[in-house]
Amino acid sequence: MPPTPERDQPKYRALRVYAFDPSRGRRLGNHMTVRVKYEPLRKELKGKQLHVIDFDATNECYYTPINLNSPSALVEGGLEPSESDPRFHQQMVYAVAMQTIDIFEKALGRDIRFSFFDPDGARNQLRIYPHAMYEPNAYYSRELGALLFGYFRASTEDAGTGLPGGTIFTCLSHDIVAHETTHSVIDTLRSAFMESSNPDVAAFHEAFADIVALFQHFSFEDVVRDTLRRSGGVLHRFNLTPRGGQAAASGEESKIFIVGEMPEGNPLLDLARQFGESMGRRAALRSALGVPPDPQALENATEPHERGAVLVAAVFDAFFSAFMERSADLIRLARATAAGSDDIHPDVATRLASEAARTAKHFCTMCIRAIDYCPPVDITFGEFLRALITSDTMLYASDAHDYRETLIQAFRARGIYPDGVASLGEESLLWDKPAPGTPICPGLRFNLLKPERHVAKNRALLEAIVHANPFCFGLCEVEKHDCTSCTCKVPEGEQVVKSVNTVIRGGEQRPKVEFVAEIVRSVPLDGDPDLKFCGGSTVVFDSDGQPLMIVYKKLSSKTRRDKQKEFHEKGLAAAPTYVERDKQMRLSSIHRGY
Amino acid sequence: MAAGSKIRVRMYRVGFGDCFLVTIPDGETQKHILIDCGVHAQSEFKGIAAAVQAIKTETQGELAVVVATHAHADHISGFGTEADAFRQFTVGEVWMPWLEDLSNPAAKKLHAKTAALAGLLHAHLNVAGAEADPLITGIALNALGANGRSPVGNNAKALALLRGGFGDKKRTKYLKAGRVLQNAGGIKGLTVRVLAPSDDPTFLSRMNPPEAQLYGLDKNGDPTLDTLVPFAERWTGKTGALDPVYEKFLHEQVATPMRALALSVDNYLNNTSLCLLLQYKGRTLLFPGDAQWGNWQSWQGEWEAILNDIDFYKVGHHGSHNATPHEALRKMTGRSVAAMASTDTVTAFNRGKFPVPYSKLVSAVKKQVGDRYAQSDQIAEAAAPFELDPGGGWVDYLV
Repeated sequence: MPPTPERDQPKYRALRVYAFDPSRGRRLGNHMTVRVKYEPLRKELKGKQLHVIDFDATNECYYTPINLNSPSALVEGGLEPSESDPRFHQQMVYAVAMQTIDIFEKALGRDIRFSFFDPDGARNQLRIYPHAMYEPNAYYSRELGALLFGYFRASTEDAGTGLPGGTIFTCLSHDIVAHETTHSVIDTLRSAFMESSNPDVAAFHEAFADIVALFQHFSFEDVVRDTLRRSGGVLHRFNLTPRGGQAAASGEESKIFIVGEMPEGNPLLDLARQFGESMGRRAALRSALGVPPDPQALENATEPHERGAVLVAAVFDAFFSAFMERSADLIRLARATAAGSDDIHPDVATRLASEAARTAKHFCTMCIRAIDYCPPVDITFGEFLRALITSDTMLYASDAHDYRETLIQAFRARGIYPDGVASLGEESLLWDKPAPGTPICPGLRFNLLKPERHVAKNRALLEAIVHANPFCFGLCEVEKHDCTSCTCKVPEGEQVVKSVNTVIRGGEQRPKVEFVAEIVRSVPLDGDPDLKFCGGSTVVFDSDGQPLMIVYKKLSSKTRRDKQKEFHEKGLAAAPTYVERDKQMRLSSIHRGY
Repeated sequence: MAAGSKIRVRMYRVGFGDCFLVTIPDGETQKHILIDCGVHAQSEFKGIAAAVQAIKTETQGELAVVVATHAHADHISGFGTEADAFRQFTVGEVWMPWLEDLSNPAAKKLHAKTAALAGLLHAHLNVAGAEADPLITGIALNALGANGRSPVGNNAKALALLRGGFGDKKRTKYLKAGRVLQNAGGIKGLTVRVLAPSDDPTFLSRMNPPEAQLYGLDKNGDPTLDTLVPFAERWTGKTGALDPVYEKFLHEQVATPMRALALSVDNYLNNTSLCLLLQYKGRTLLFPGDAQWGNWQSWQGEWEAILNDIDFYKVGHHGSHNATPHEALRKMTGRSVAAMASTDTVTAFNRGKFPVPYSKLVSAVKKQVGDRYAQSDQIAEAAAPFELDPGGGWVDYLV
């Protein structure tokens, strides 16, 4: 085939996937077509960022690869959803992973660039093994530069709504694929977030992966519309009215049920239902939501998933509150015309659904943008809140929909407070302005269309400035130094600037360009070669290189050092007992399922 | 001899296993409680037969209570191999965790599931032969007490004696968290609190071993030898995008289901451990069996109140990396708390990443209790306040 001129290339590739997983069958909206960014593919499923390899490491064999260039695949949106055809599985992991990456790229305004090292060299593709092993598990592995999805037999005693003993594929769960892909993207954006240095770090990774997976549900138009109709417009209601209208009669006379009359769980709030049910747990694996706010919950939770669930719940509390606020007028209009009925008019449902999709997108985008503004290492939930507020304020000076206020209230209700702020007012939550004397960094360049073009040069430029002024960027190791007395040096040749990203501020004002730099250095923690103590800062520069904001995780902080030591001594970094401390968290072992 | 009104804890050197004799003064005489009596099949040193003889002499064949904390060979093998000797003992009561009570439906269900999984491990070993993963071998042998082709091993024999109450079923008590025994085992003034295992649904759901089917057992619990090729043959091929060397590497990296299965069986059995708090005249002794995190966690709310003033801690699970929570250890702040670990560094499975005993745990325990720490395989090093058998068969501590 002759090379196609770029402008003739299609923008999207249509591919069919399950909106949830095979257990929902053909139920409304479960067979769904998504449009992913088009990229030329060769015969194997290998693009710019992803490489799907259907190698089964347990059985040591390959499964027939799909050819997405075949005419029928191009015309029909790939293969029809099927559990028995491995090629559909490859298509689905590719589509969902691409979609998830796309959500990040749209929010951040730049491409996600993977980079992994194999024994035989570097590569830029994240590998995906849709049938990596016979095991009820799925995980992201940095060492393998891959997402590994397992398959297994469902419980024969209690398989929920599934077929007892049937084969379950984790790669066919939209949630699981989105969750694992998010792990890999976060690891690319902030590699130090795999250094478990406080109880929130591992939990943050888990929570963020769930947040991105859950927000995707609200873009499934058909499902959202149906849910809205059956919940009277209350998206967060757990049980939906049966399709026939009223729930099964409360009176004694009706003893016969048909399936359609049974109340059904709200699919939008569940995560990986089929997986959870197949393990005999009678429920979605982690329904993150639905626990009433308890400010103490965070104090008592040490296990990453438990802690992460608190963060997920806080974000979704805010989202649902914002949605109710935004849709109140529509609901009132609907009630005015059909008083007393839960079933809302299809037109209203459509309007509400698009409102929900939009709000979900806003929130998901806010969360993703906040990553650039997070401290480079040692993240805590409270700091994530500050990053959220800061990044959003930089973009939209006024908070037209009260999103920020809603978020602050929701986090407070769940007991998530940032350390060292005077109040929970928006202004106190913004990151600090740099101290006078923080060096400016003139000469940073940007290219709006090809943001990656100047990355290397910008890094080198900033590297030199940071080496000359380690104190100003949180790299001085001695407490009580200041700009004038500090003589600390960063060893010659050590790279401390991990990234300099271009951020475009549109919002209400004229678009502006800013730079966000991530500066990190690690030193041994009290001579223990197993343990690293990381510090540095995240700095925001304007287009002239003037520093606007700075977030420190100072290398000199004794408090932080002591806290991390205690955290490691307690062994909470990996497990509650005396497990050897791995240098990084192993997601496969904290995952317990997926 | 137990001096005055002190409680004596005697740790026998059996190898990799547990065998503790707790002796409590009772007027002019003494009463004895035997807590576990077993050794791991792969332990190089095996001192069970000698220990049982010594116990017989010491107690004149009278045991007020026999405790079997959980059904692992390294805690109960002696009740099988030395069954004949034990039959000549007079035993007052037998205490076992309620999860071994087969008349309890919940316990029976979990028990059946674990037995099926252990059977699968054994079948796997028979097929794998010499190539078997040493970790899986160690775990399977411990779970079954088997040493050969039959899955019905010595553990079954031991459990028959224990469940049968050494001749009278009624002697066997199955204990559950929350139970408090006053004048326990007929010993005046001895209070025993059962801390675990609990029957709380949360704990049980965490305990629940994975379903056999997830790992390749058929409906009857018979192993299908762990294969599941998820697609029809026409979809499979032998070559693809990866280099054959990398294929091998991936195969080794990606945990095999058998290993995951083995670990889950091991964790399950350890977590059935009876965790006992013995209180006598103001002194408190903690015997947690081989409890791992889930078991400890089930009584975490009481750590503060209980652990602060214990006088003796039997180090859980032979000093492994995964059986003594840091926080629990740090709460053992009593002025003269002592600890004993029955273990052996020389075992076939001990080449892995987390050798038992785990050096970091041992140093943490030593940091907590100072020189009041004794380890059975280093018995010769035990000094005051410990007392040593000149023959090296046991070490004593007076609480």
